Amino acid sequence: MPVRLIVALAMAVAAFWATPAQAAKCPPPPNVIGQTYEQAYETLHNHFGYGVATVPDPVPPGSFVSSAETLSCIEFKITGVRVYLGGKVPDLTGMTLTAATAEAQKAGFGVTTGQPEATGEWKVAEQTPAPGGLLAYGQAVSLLLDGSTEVPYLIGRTVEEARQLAADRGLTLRGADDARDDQIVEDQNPPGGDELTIGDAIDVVLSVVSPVSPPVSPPVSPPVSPAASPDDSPSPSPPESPRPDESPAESPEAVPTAPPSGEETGSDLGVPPGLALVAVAAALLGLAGWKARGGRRAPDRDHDRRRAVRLVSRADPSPDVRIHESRGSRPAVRLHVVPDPGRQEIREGLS
Amino acid sequence: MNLTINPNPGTAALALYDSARGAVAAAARVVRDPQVMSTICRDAPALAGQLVAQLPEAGAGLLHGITLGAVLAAGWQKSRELRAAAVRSHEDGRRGKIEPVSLAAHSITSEHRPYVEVYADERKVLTITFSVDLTFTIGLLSAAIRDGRLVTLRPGGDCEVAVSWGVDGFKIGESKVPIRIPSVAVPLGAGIRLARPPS
Repeated sequence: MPVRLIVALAMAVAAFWATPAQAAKCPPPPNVIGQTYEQAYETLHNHFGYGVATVPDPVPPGSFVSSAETLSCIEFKITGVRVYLGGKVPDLTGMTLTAATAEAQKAGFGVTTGQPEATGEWKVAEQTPAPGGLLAYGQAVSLLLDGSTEVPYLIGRTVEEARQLAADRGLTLRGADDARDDQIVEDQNPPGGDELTIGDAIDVVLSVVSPVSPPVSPPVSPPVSPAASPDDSPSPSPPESPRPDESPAESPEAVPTAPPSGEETGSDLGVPPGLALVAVAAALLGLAGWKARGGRRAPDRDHDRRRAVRLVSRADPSPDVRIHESRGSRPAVRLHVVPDPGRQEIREGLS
Repeated sequence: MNLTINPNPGTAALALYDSARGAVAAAARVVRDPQVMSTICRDAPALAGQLVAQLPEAGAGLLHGITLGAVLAAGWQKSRELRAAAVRSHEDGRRGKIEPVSLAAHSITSEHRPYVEVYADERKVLTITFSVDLTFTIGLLSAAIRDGRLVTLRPGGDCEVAVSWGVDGFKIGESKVPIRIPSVAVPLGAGIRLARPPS
């Protein structure tokens, strides 16, 4: 009986030693972490004679060893090693989340962010590991995203241009749905230079007229006056304020404007002046109440103001016209000694 | 009847642009620059948007209102050569006779500063000044003077006009183009007066 027991134990021990060792019981491989794959292969295979398996396989160029483990051993002698490879993390900062994800995947990495509200247009502000840092293939680069964007300056732009400028920064326009492309932005809220979150909208107020829509008016003012004979009366100096008798016909480029006063409005509509006065007073009270409630919508306010703006063009009443005669043959020319040949000319009739 | 000079192109706008709309479009391109408009509207920034829409049209109208014939006439009126001949034409024995005068190559410059007044709520809030500078180069001018009046003009040689315009210091456009100045003559008693008869 004891003999049988001893034989059984001996067989068990023999079987144990004859079986390939479990990885957990094998010694760790030499430290090759941080080495390039080529350096690690030189050490593990060529120097120690180990078999080398890689993750991933095949090996991407420029890979580094991120970690390594013993794959197999016999009698505590390592026979095979598995190395986990990694690469350098590309610089993703400044990219949109969409672009950064694609770039990271192309390099063999994933991305992760703790900002579920972020859209693909948000931009990478920071990344971990930093650009150029090592990360095992298949691991995720942690991204910190920034959704803020600078509001573009839209005033003066056509609707088409404004839409494009806004879209370039991940923003949309509000108030331009039915606009013609050649209308221009007269006001915007928030103003250019402010910050919005990507996906937000910019309120815009559009012009009634486009900069090139109406035909060119005939000359604004009487043709330049200097053609008049010398005995004509001198030109009038520019007036400091609009003449009472000015009319749109005298200033054809002036855009349609609101009537200049409530009184004229009343008379035009056949409303008694007293009633018009009451209406104006009521309107002022309403405006005061609206302001008191704190309601403040800049675009609407400016829309009202727009109607009250008009332009009055004034031609230069006394342009500075001079004649410069050269190669004249009058005695005055000959007596006038000018050292620079290029300036042998007469300046006459200075105003 | 006065002596009317009708060169081609006829206005400062047409010397700069092929079409009347060209001036509007050029001005619009300039005033749509936020930096330009912020400068122009520094005293009334809230009006910038409206002015962007309206100012090009106004500026183009001013440019179109500068007729080159009128400027040429004003320049030649200031010629000492022509005025001296006009004085001579009043002398005894010369009255009623043609006094021929030739001007060799010369140039005429003309500086215009038209402006646009901007009224908001019927209150003037801005004055925006345009600049239009013209330089004519005329190869030769044969003129005739009778009784102190310029009655015949016959330009010759190469003539050209350089035009530049801008708003509030910002250049909108410039060009130099040949200009054709047709000869003109007026009947007896008409013409541009250059010298009064001696009293």
